[in-house]
Amino acid sequence: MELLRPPIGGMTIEPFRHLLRLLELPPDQLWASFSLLAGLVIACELVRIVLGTALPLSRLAHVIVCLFTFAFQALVLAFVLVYAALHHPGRGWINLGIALALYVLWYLTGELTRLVRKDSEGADLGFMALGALITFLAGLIAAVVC
Amino acid sequence: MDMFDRHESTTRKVFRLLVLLTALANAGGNALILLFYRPILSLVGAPLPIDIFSFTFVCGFSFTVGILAFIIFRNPEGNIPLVLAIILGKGVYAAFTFYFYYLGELHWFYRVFGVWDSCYTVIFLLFLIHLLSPDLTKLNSGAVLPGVDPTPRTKKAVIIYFSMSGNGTRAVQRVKAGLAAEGYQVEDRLIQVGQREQALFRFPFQQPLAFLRIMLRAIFRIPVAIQPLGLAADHDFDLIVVESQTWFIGMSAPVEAVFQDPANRAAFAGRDVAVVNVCRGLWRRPQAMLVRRIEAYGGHVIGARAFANPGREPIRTFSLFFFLGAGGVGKPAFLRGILTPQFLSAAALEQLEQFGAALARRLPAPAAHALPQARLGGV
Repeated sequence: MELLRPPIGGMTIEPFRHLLRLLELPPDQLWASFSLLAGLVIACELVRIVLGTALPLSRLAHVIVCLFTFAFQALVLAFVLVYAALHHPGRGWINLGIALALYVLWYLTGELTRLVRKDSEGADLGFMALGALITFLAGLIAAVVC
Repeated sequence: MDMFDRHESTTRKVFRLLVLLTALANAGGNALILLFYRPILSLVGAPLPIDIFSFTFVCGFSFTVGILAFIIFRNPEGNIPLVLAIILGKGVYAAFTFYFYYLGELHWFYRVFGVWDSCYTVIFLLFLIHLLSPDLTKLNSGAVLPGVDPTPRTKKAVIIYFSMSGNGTRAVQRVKAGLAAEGYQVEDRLIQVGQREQALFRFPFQQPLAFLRIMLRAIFRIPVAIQPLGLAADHDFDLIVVESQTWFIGMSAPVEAVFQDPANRAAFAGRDVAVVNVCRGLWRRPQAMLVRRIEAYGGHVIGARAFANPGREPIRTFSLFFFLGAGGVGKPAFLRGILTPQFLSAAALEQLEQFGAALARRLPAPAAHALPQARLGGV
């Protein structure tokens, strides 16, 4: 344990602090926060669709597909809305608008895949709606309470 | 070349051009920057690099990515792992660029490269979606491929399926009708879950939390024991049709169990097999799973059809959950007016019947493809 202490103590954690700060949706770095979440939403949707036909017998790939269908993004965005409302009270309604824009982007990303593959299912609006229930319910409560 | 092929070909051309563009930009651009970084940085008002080693290293890395892109441009289908490597490389580069830019430690000139690489991360992901499993795209275009089984046709088919709510049964019956119309004798075999877990997989659900348990099992691909299929290695069916429903974006557990029992391998080896997927909305992954499972057992997939229940989203998804929760259609009664049907449409069933007929009329195996040893399970 003594041997491990110096390297662990010197571990770089600053980037994670910055990322966590971006999840607060700070007014002075809103565009950076939006870019981060947009990148996440786009990546999750495209990875989900890539895995639609790739690694069909992989259990891990299947779990990832299930998570990226809606649960992961919906829970992350719900966390962001609550976390942001706690750190920047009074901005709950603006943050809900940001989350809505991210859902639109998520949907458009899925639909974009129809252009490159005729048999793509595109975005799954049904599961996205389930995700929206999680995200916006949490966001609404946070907006009202904070 | 039909409309479908031409569409694919145009898409592929556009992607290859985009790949060539980034190959030239990465390889050529970085070679230029390495040679002329002083005047270029001065022109855009960026400071000279403090750490010339890191600057040169990044340029060298980016140059290499350009070469990799050129290799992909030459043969996209043969270099799928390189596409993955470039997605990761460009994605990581873009993420780090934005990170340092937003910290205020990076000149705007470098953000151009971050924007470029983030765009190309998406482009390469889309290209990957386009490239993967072209055989499935062909099957989904409506094609029924020539048979591969070289032995004389017996005009007998077997349909293997599992259905809890009856939607799959309806689909299977129409495929059966199509085959029968073309002179086939068809036997259908409903997969029977093993005694121990039979009660869990019964609809309407009878056990507490049955839906939740089935859902978790489906997500984590926990196998279910089924009763022996009873399909001998030397069966005389010249066609096998396998039907599967979508259970949480995968094939249904009882159907997957058929392909988790090595005893069934010989029954599929070298045979003509067709697949039918029935679902609420997501069918691509369940179809890919089923096709690859069959191929892993040596079967030759000659046709595939997937059909989703009618209705618009998102109400279709909510209707499914109401159906599963309430154990029947049209429940709760006060929502009857907006709930969508839980069974395939008449048009879909008609297409399934046509599919059955098309399977029966499939072309015989070309001589060159004959695999006389295939039925011994040696594939």
